[in-house]
Amino acid sequence: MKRRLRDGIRTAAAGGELTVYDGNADTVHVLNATGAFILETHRAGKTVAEIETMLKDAFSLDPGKDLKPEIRRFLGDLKKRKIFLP
Amino acid sequence: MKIGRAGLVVIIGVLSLSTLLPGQDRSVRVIRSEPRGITLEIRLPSYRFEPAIVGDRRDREIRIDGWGTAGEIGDPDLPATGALIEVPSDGRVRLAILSAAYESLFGCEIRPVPRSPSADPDEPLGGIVPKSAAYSRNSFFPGPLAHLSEILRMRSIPVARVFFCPFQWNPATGELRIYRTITVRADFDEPLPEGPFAEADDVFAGPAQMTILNRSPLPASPPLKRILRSDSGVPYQNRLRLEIEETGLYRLDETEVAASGLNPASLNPASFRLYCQNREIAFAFHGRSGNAWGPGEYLEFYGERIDSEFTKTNVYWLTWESGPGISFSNRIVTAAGTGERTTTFRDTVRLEENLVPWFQAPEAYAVDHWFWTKMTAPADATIPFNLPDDILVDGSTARLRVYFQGRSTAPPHPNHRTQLTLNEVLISDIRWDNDQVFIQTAELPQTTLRAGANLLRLDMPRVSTGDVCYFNWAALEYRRGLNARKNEILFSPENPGFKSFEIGGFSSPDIRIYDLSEPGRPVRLTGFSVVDAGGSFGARFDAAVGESERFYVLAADRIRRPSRVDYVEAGTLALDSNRADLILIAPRALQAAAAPLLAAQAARRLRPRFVAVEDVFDEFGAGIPDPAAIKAFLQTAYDGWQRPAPLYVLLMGDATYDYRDHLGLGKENQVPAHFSWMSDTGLTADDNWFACVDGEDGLPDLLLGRIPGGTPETALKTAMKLAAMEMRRTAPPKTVILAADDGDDQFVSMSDQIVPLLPPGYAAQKIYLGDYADKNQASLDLLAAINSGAFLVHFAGHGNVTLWAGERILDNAKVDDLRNADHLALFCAYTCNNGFFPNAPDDCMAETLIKAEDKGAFAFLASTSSGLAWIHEIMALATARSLFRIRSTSLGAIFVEAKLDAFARGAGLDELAKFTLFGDPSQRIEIR
Repeated sequence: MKRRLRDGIRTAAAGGELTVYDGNADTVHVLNATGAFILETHRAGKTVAEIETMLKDAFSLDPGKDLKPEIRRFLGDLKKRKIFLP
Repeated sequence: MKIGRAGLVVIIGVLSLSTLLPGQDRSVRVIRSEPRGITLEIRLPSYRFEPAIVGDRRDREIRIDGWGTAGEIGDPDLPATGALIEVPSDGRVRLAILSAAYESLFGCEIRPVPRSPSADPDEPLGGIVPKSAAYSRNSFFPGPLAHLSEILRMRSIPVARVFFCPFQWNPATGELRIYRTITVRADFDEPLPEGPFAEADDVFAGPAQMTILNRSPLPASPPLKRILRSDSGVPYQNRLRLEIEETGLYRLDETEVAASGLNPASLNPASFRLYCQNREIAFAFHGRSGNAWGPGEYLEFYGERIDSEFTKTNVYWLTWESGPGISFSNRIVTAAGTGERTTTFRDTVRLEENLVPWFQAPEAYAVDHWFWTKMTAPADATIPFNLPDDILVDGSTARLRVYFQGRSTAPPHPNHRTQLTLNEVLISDIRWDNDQVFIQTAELPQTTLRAGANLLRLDMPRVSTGDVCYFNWAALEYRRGLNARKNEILFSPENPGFKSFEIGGFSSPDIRIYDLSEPGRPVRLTGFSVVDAGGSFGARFDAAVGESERFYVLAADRIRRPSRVDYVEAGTLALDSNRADLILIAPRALQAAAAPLLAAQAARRLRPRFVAVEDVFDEFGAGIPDPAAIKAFLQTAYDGWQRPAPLYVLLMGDATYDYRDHLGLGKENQVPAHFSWMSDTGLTADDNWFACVDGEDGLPDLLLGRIPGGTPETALKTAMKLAAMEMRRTAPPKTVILAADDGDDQFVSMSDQIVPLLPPGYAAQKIYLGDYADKNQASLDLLAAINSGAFLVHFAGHGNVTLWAGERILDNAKVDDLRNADHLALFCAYTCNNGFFPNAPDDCMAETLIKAEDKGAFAFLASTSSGLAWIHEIMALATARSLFRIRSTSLGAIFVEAKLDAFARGAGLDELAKFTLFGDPSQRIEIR
C-alpha cells in the first residue's frame, strides 16, 4: 500500500538529493541520494526488506550486508519528523 | 591608406611599479594608488579593422573584443574602455593626462554606432544612421583622451568611471589617431578613507573589490539614515481602505465596517479623518454625535475616479486615531430666480480606447502611449458615438479635439495629413509633422450634431513614405440641457455671474446639490427648491459663480458604495526596528508558496523576510499599485532598517506591460514591472531600477532577482525547485555549454572567448549553429547536452521572447523535452528579449525555464529588451569572469559584479539595466 506524505510536506530533487519542506514546522530537510531512495520506495509501499534489496541493487552495495537496521533507523527518523501520515 | 607618425607627446616619468589588481583589465593598469589619488595607464591591445557597409558608405569598424564605444548612437564608433575608481564622498576629482603617444592613419571612414534591433517592422532601429553633427566636424572625435563620469554611488561607495578613448578620428580629414598608451592621474581634494570598516558586508565585497581599482579592503555597510515617514501619517495608523471606481457621492455604513472585521462601535466618529493620495478629504458623518459608530449611522464622501497608468481603482483611507478631520461645509442658497436663467451647459464626450501601445513614442515615460488604433496611410477609422436627446441643435458652437501621435518622419514635410469628418461633414483637414503629439482641433456648428447616433470619421491620405501615426482619443465639447443622466449631473457654468440654475431629469424629489469648486472640500447646498415636472423632478437654485465653479447634483438613490472595504492594520514596513538580509516581495496569496524558499534561505543563516506587495502599495503608494511604491519601500529598508542593511531582494510574481489589462489578456500584475526610458528601446522593463536605492544613478545597491509567480500551486513548485537547489550539497557538473547562432561571427567569437575563462576541470561543449548543415540536429544536440548535465548553458545569438535563433535551437515548447532534473542549469542568454517578463499572455523564455517542473534552469540571466552584440559581448565576458572565479559567493553578487565590470569597460548603464537575474540572488555558487 502506498504511503502518503502528510499535508504540508513538499519535496523537490536537485543534484541527486531530495529537499523535503515541512510546511507545518516551516523547516527544510535535505536527504542524500540514499535517503531520497529510501523515502521514495517507502512512499511506494515497499517493505523494509524490499527496500533493502532495491537499495543494494540501485547503489551496488554489498549483497551480504544487513542494511535493515539502518533503513529502520532512517524511517524512524522520518516518522519522528512526521513526514508521513501515520 | 598611408600610415604616418606625428606628435609624440613627451612621456612624463612615472617610475613606480605598476600593479595588476584583481578584476583589472589587462589594458588598464594601476601605476600608483594612494588616498589622494590614482595613476592609471592604458595600453592598447590588438585591434582589427573590419569593413562596414552603411548605405552607399564604405566604412570601417574597429574591433577590440570586450571593449565599448566612445560615442552614442550615430556617433563615430570608436573603441573605448575604462575602469572604476573610488572617489571622495564630496566628489571633487581632477583628471589630468600625464602622457600619451599616438600614430596616425589617414583616409579612414569610421562607421556610426548602430542602434539596437527591433522586432517592430515600423521601427527604424537596427539601422546605422550617421549623426550629421558628429560627421560634419573638422576636429577629432570624441575629443578628450580620457574623461571621468559623473559620481555614482554603489552601496554607499562613491565611484567614477575613468573612460579612455585611445582612438580619435577627424571626419573631415579622415585622420585616425591611435594612442598606444595613455597615462592619467586622478587627484582627490580629500583623501579616501583608509582601512576596513566596522560593518563589512562581505557579499558585496566581491563586486566592490573586483571592480573598483582603488577600493579599501572591505566595503562599508551603508550608513543608517533616519526613515522619512509620510507627512500624513496615514500608513502608520489602523485604518479602513475604501476602493472606488467611479466619480460620485459615496456612503459607508456600519454594516460595511463590520464586514471588514472591525467593530464599528469601537470607532469614535469625532476622530475620523479621510485621505486620498496622501491628501486630506472632507466628509460628512451622519449620526447622533455619540462617541461610537452606531447602527444606522453612516459616512459620506465625494470620491473621484482615477485614470492612472496602473489602475482605475482609487483608494480612500479612513483613520480614527488623529481626528477630528474635515467635514463637508454647508451653504444656504436661494431659489428666487433672480439671476441669469441657466438651463444649459457645455458637456464633453470623450471617446477613447487603449488597444495599441507604442513604448517608443517620444517621451512615452511622460505621455499617454496607449492608443486606439495605428494608422498607416492611406487609412481611415470610424468612431460611432451617441449624444443625448437634449443636445441643442442650434447656432451653438461645438469643439472637437482629436489626439494624434505622429510616428514616421520621412519627407516631404509636413509629412502627415489628417481629415476629420463628423456626420459626413468635413470639418478639418490639416497637415502636420513628424513624431510629435498633434491635437487637431475644429469648431463646428451644433447643427452638425445629432441627438442619438453620430459618426466621427478620421481619414489619413498618404503624403509621405511610410506615413504612420496613431489615433489616441477624441473629445467633443457641446452644449446640452441641464438635465441629469441616471439621476446625476456634474457641470460647470459657462461664464461667471449671478445665475439661476434650473436642472431637470430626476426620477425622485430627494435631490442633493454640492459645490465642488474646491478640490476635496465639497460644500453641500441647501435652500434650493425641488420642482415636480410631472413624472420627473428638478432643482432650482441661485448662485454667484466665478471661473471655476463645479456643481454636482444627484438624487439620493445615486449614492454609491465603495466596491471594497478592508480593515488595514498600521503599517510596519517603515519601522527602524526591522531587520533582514533578504526581502522577498510577493502577493499575499503567494506567501505560503514562498515559505520553502524562505526556509531554505533561513537554513543558510540568512534572515529572510516576506513582504506582501499589497502592504507595500498601501504603505508607500497610498494604495495604488505603482512600482514606485516598491522602490520607495526598498529605499526605506536600505536606509533605515537595522544594519547591516538588507542585501538581497527577490521579487516573486508575474508582471505584464498591460497594467490595466486593456487588451484583456488576463495576466495578473502580481509584482509589477517598472519601465525605464532608454534612448534606443523606449520604455524598457527594468528591475535594476528597484535595486538602485543609493544615489540617483543606475548602479545597483541591492542584489535583486525575480522569479515568476502565477497560481499558488505553480509558485510553490517554483519555490520548491529553487529551495532544493539552495540546499543542494553535491557539486554541479563541470560542463559549460556554449551555444552560438550563425549569421554573425561575433556570436561565435563571443562564445570562444568564454573558454579560456573556465577554471581547471571545466569543459566547454560547443554547439555552434554554423557548424551544422542540419539545424534541427543542433537543437537535438543542445537538448541532449543539457540533459546530460551542465552547470552553465550559454547562448549568444539572435532571439526573441520565447526562442533562441531563427532555427529555434531552443524555444519554450522544447523545454518540455528537457530531462535534467538532477542537473538544473544556470542559463545566460545574450540575445534579445528572452527576459521580457512583462510579456503577456505567454511567459518569456527565462520564466518558462525557471517554472519548468523538475527541469530547466535554477537561474537565468537575460535581457528584457533588444541589444547590440558588442554590448552583449562585454556583459557575457564580464559575467564569465565573475562566475568562474574560484570562490563561493552568491548569484546576485556575481551578476552585480559583472554589471559593474561591464560598465567600467564601456557598456552603458541603460543597456546593463536590461539584464535581469531570474532566480534567487542569494543562491550560493561555488567554483572549485
